[in-house]
Amino acid sequence: MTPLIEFDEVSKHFPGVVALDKVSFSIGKGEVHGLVGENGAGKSTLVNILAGTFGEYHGRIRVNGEEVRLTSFGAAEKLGICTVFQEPNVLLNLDVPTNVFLGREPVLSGMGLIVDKKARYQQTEKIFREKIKIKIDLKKKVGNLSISERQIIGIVKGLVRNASIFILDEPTASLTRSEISNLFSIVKELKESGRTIVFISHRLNEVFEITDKLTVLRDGHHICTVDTKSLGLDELIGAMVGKPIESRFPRTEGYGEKTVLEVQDLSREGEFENVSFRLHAGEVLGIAGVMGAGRTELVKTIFGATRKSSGKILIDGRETGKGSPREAIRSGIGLLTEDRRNESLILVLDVLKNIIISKLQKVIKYSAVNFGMARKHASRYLDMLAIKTPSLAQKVEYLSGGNQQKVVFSKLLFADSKILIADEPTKGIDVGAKFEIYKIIHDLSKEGVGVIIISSEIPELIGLCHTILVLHEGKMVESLPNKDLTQELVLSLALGERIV
Amino acid sequence: MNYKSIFTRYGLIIILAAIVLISSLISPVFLTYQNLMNIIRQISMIGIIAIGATIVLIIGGIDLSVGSTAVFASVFFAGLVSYNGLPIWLAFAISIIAGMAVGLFNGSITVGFAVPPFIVTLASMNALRGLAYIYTNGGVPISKVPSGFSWLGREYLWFIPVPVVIMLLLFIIFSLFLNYTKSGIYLYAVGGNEKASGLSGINVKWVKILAYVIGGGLAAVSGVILASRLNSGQPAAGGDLLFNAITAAVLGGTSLSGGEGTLRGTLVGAIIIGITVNIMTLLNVIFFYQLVIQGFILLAAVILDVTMKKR
Repeated sequence: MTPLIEFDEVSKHFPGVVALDKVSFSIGKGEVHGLVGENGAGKSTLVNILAGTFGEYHGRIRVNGEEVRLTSFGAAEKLGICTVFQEPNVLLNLDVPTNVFLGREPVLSGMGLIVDKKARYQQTEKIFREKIKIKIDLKKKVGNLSISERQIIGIVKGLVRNASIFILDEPTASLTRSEISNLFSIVKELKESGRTIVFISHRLNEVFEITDKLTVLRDGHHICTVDTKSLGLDELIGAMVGKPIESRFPRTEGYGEKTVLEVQDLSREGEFENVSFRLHAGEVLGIAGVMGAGRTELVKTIFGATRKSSGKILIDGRETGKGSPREAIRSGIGLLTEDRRNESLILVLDVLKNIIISKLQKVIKYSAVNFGMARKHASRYLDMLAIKTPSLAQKVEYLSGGNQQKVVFSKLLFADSKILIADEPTKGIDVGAKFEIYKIIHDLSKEGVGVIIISSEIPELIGLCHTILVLHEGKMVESLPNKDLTQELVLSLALGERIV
Repeated sequence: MNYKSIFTRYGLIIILAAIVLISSLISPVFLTYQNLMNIIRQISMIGIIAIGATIVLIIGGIDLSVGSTAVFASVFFAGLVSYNGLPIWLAFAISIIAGMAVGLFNGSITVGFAVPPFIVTLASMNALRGLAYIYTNGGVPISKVPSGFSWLGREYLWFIPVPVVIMLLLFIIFSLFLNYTKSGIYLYAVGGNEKASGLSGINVKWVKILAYVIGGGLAAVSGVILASRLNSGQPAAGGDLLFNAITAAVLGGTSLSGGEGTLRGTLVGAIIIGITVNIMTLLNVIFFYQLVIQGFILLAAVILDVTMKKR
């Protein structure tokens, strides 16, 4: 049987980089095909070639045995390829039916130019009712819908265009559990109707759950294409990383007695209420919860980026004032935000300036920045955290996700943070770099830094933390010492199904 | 990236060298002492005002009122001397403070009410032009000025024209400011990413206002020199200042989206404009045609900036 899509020595070169090097494999009709690999392995490049967004590439691609050139978005669409990116291509200011039918609006018969809004609405409604089986308020502007709902709209767009191949690029990265299970039932529905799905994800358990076949890429090379069932987790990670990886989490030990941060009955209207906890020197405290639990909101308020409505925050026993990031940084709090590119880094500035920016006064001499001194500090972090960059003068924009995250850690270290708050520190980072980041967190806690980690990956919290705080819909459910905790227990608490 | 940085560093110099070479070939007058002095004096006003324009662009803003601020400062300066009989140095200082006050107004409104700077400075551009006419009783040039009034604009220190000395000093001072002081580095940070800057403990509002205050102050310096060159306060003068200031900054590689730009580049940009205007005048290109050509130079610079970014 001819495979549906066949890659034959497909390569893509960028100035100075070979993103994809003679990759050959095929995807069969009606299968859910997983594409895995670390950041920089070439997954996105392959996806973008399939989507037609890259234009030229080397090698041949055959669809149903016929050679095609996927050099434009339109060419890919004509072949029935629908790509749903992590941040789907939708127009936020328009409602759902308008988005779904964009570019192929049904028109009133006999009046070629006037859009038949009623038909458009009804057809959209029908697809949602029959194929998607999820309720979305179709009249809402897409900007008011969640990422997950926007992805579903991307899929519906493909259905309207009779697409037979759906490429889902990291669809689950910012989805909650229930959203993921919704998405998975849609994927199954698509599969049953004979369509083919290419599924890209960093989360390996999902890959095992949903895919039939797996293709592993590494450094732009094709490593293997196998039946998902034939592979174990360790084997898969081994194939992705290219070397066996060390023990997963650095071991946690005890922590000091000194309370560095105390939060008493902290509330912020509409976001979270009456949260209380203590963070000790050297303690790693995890905050678990699903989306909407108020985790990010809580730490933003502790950091002073948003105002509290009531309650107290005490740092080293002293109550904080009105609160501002400036004040927080001065009193030793460092925040690593979830949105690294928009909130933590200034991409157009170089590595050096990003590291020193929040505590310039440390390297000021005679009211001018002493760059020699600054470079000395920064180089130390480059060595300590093994940051891969051509130089300190490189713009952070050009570093990989993992290295960017390490620059953020350097910035917090340079600011002498005694309390480190890390919001999803390993989001969108390769497996290899993840463990380096665990090690950084571990080392910091050994030096007496109090660490707060927010993570959606519960194994990560169980692996790293001394204490786990569970939030559900803005309320504190439990503060658990990390002893005999299981993933299931933490998750059910986070979902509000209390079973303690 | 490398291509771009090589271009911004050397490409502009090459263009400048080519323009100088061509100009000297097609006009025998071009390289004469008198003409060169003319050029650099012309450049000094553009250059000073362009320093401010660059700084505002670095924070990701724009100041359309710099030209009008300069013109207003020039008549105000002349008026303080002529109407009020103030000593020249005092009038100079007050005019610059007035320019900074305009910047403070622009910055505060932009930051305080979250109005786009394009609109705020468009409004003050118009208002200031009006004020310049009101202040001069409907546009009557203020020409009763004491001797010494024209010192800033027309005299020499050793053999360098005074305004050129002022411009070079300001370039050095503000280059140091941008590269080595806390506030200078914050300007780039805020222009690069406001949100991340705020979360890094930078007082974003203050930094933005600072940029407009500097812009207004430097526009006023340029205006005072204008008045001194004309030996009078003329509300109808200086119509090309805004355009030239923005063009100089953009030619010099300042990014319109903020966070990037150097004064070294702006200085070269100002020199290119000065020479182009001068050679066109020497060749008897009619003023209106000059405007058309200048318009296309700005467009070419922006297109270059945008395409370089894509690489």
